[in-house]
Amino acid sequence: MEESSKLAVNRWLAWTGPAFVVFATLTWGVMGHNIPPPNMMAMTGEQLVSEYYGKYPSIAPGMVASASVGYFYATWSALLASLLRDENGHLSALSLIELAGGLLTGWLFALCGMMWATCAVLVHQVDPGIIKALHTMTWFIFDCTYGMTTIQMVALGLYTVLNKKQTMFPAWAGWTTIAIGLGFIPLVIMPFVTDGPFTVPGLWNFWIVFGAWLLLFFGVYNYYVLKHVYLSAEDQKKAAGLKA
Amino acid sequence: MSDAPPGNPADRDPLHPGTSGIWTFLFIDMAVFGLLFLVYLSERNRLPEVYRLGQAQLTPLAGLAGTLLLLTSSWAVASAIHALRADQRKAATFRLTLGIVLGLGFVANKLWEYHLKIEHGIGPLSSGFFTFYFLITGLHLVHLTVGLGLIAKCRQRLAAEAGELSFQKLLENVGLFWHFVDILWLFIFPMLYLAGAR
Repeated sequence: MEESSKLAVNRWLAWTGPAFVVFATLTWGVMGHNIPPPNMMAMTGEQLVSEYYGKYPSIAPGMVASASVGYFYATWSALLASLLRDENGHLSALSLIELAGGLLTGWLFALCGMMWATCAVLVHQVDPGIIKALHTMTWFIFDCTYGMTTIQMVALGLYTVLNKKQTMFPAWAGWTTIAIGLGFIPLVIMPFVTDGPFTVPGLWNFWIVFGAWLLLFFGVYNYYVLKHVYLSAEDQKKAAGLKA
Repeated sequence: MSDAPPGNPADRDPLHPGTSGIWTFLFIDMAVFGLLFLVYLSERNRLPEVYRLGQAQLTPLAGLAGTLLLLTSSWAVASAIHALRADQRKAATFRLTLGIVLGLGFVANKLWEYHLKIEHGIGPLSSGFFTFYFLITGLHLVHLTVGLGLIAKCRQRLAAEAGELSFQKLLENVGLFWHFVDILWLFIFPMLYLAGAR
């Protein structure tokens, strides 16, 4: 592939990051009425049906659309992995872990979107208890498999901090990403509580965790990735710390 | 990657404690704990009786013992750094050993506290207070265990690398991390064990 084509492809891929933020917020967040989501652990199946799935007809199309948007995260993560090279231009274990974590997170977003869509489509055809079981299981999968995203963030953070030759990303962004990735750990408390900050819509498990992930990890790295891909090919090599 | 010279010139200045990386890390880690403390305080404000009852089941003397152990351990590690700078290798090794022993004392004290709680049927899901108690003290314990491992590693390498600036910087970084663990506990102890408990 010609250098100009490579640059063009990378620039398109870099925009899938902001596209993910915008479309995921619209589909999963606004249409899916997930800002914040209902606290299903404190609701009966009937309440979940009457106050959520049965009340908002936009949930089903929103979730189906969000499943497609999930793959933007995968493409953005793949671009990011391609930038994480050592001075000889080789990918390392950290690049591959970042890629694996990004792909799995994108896939998880798509899978869970379709499971919630199933609840929304079948809401008047099956027992409310079954709706609650499927809805709850999906949230357990979505939150408690945080490790996929955490390994992506820790690998990216470690690359940023340890590779002192690269100037694509500042060290503070690397440390912040590691801290936010590890801040996901309290998500495992979610299945066991019905009230407070560690529930699905809770202060920690929703507002702080998702807010920090979106603004301080995804927002920050999106900015630096976009800045990087609009440099000339020569400047990109320098910024990546590659040998001339 | 690890052989690369540090980018910040202050990182090579023997008078500048530690390197920029550890200061950045500590600032961010502090912000994360700060957020956790704020969430705890807002929950305590929302459910004062639940938190008061939970706090009443803790043993403040155990918390005080932990505080004294950790403060003394921190002093030992700080004085080990001074000894290293003065090229007093034996004194530095002894003080690091003392720091480790006192740190292990804190671990034993904390595990004993956990044991007492579990024996009385109290776990992380017993109440909102105990979720925070186990989460905050557990995360602190993880930091402490990492810190102990780092001090032990420095102690092991001290005899061979004492004269090198890179080792001095490493020990300073570890010392800063250990102080941070100590300072965290100085917030955790009054917040969980004392404030509003009686």
